[in-house]
Amino acid sequence: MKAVWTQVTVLAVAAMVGFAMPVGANAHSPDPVVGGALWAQDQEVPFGWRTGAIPPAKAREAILAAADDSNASRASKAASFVDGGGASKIGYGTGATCGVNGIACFNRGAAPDSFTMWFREQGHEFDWGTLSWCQLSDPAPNGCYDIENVALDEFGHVLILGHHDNFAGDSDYLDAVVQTFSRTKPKAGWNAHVYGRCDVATLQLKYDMRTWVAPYSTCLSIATTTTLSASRTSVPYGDSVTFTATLKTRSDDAYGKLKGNPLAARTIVIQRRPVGGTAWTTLATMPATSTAGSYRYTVAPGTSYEWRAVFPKPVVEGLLGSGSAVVTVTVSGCSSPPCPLSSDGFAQPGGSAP
Amino acid sequence: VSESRWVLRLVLPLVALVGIVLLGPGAILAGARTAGLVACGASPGALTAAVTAASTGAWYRTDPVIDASGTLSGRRLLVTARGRSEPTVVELPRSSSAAGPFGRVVLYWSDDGSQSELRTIDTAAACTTTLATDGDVIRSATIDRDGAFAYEHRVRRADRADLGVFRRRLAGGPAIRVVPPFPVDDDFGVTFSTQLVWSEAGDRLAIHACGAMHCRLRVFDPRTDELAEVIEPGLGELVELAGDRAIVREPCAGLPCPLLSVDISTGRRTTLADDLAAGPAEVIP
Repeated sequence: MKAVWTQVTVLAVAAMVGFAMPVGANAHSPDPVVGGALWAQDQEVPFGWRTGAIPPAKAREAILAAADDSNASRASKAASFVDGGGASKIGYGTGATCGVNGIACFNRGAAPDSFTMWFREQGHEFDWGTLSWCQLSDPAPNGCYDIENVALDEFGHVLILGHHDNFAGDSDYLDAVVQTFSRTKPKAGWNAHVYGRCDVATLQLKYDMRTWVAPYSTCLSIATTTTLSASRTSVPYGDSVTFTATLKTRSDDAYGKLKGNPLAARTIVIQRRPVGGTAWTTLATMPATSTAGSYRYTVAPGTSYEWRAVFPKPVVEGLLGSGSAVVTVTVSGCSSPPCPLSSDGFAQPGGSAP
Repeated sequence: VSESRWVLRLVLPLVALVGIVLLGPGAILAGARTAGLVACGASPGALTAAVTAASTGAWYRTDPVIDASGTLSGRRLLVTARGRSEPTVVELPRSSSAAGPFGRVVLYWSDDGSQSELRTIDTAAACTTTLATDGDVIRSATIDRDGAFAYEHRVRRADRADLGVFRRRLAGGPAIRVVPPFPVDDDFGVTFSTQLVWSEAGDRLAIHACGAMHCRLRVFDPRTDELAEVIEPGLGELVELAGDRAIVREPCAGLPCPLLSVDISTGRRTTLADDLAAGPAEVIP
């Protein structure tokens, strides 16, 4: 998980208030999906070894590690894999039902009940050469495939992921583990053991976020919706107004399970400008309330203003910025002199007018 | 230390000698141990006669040999014919396979890392004939229905580049390339497997090469030496070549893949079965 988000921050663009864009329109697209049914959210899928085709011990260790990698880096409510029997079987050897190609393969036709996975045997001959698994050679030679990496690719397929569609030249190869061509040692990514950001993006679209505070993959470009309401739109001088903002992902079917999600623990700022003015001034960051996606700020405005809430595009996740509609709060005359001459006075939340 | 040296000098050669005596006169070429087989006679046309012979109940099987580490270390080829009580066993290196039977002949090929060998076994006579020894790697082979020619697909040993398909007379003579290599295509990627498959009528040879995602198909007509190509994305495994149509699966992952009929001359496709997960196909007489 940590590695995923460390990696993606490098490619994130500067914060700004942006406009809605379709999913993936920032060039890096989420992985496509393969056919078949989804697993249930957070479903635990037990698996065991295929009788008569049990992988060698070091291969088993690597496959189990890959299951843990999948569980740890799914960053979504995608199913998790549990070592412990069940109808799902993983096999190794010459009985692999991988057709004539592939070093490993899967079948998710029985999802959400079970899956199968196969790994070809060490030494299998292809036209391109001889299959070598790194874990089964000591020392691991260049040109070997990392079983843990390949197994993570297969677990990704089992969840729903198709092969990532890379840029020409594969400049974005590290954005996904689920690749048509797994890389061999020592090419970059050969031993990646966490899902890439574009793997995670599709898992999030299909299975939803684990929590409302969890970061969205930067492989996504999810539009957001910010609203703002005021407890009162006309107040006497010195009285407080409480502004409440809500922040959600846009209600768009293209966003799958992410559609309309509340966005908690984000940074929302409140801005104001003189009525009829053009320049906005940021006053404060609105504290989050106990309701996910809700933010509140209280102020005793010294004069009439137009107000709005703004969610700046975050640097470290795949959300687009948004701004609320303008709310005008009219402040009536001062009722208890002396009244200030300044027109830009304001108070801190819950405080009094200056 | 000195004891170890004596073991090396005396015991190992002795073990080797005993092994040779026990295994008899079987040859070891290109990594194949053909114990119990004798060389077939060199009479012209004998192999063709064996290939075109009526069915003799010949059969073969290849069993993988997996060592304790889970590594494929070799293959065991078992061949026999009707009336023979015990199969002939041929120990092969891991880079090997077999095809047939063609009449009473099983064709097999093997590569020991330095050279490839193409051989036949006459299952009735329990004799073997060496068709070819080559410095490049023979990856697959077959024999035509007339018993006139063997076809072999090779890759270059140094870089495993496709070398195309070669034809040689069973009666002897040089191999001549009849199908050029598939063009290098970065989108297609490396080739995992190339299969040589005869059409249902046995009159045309399909060369079916599969990469990680797609397959490429060529159809060679031995009568005219013409080559038809269906090289485009969207072809998966070859099921059968029948008439002018190739029955293939659509490439897909992790599910039963739709079945397609592809016109060899035009490349036009027709979906025969879309949802194979729905149930078995019904045979319509």
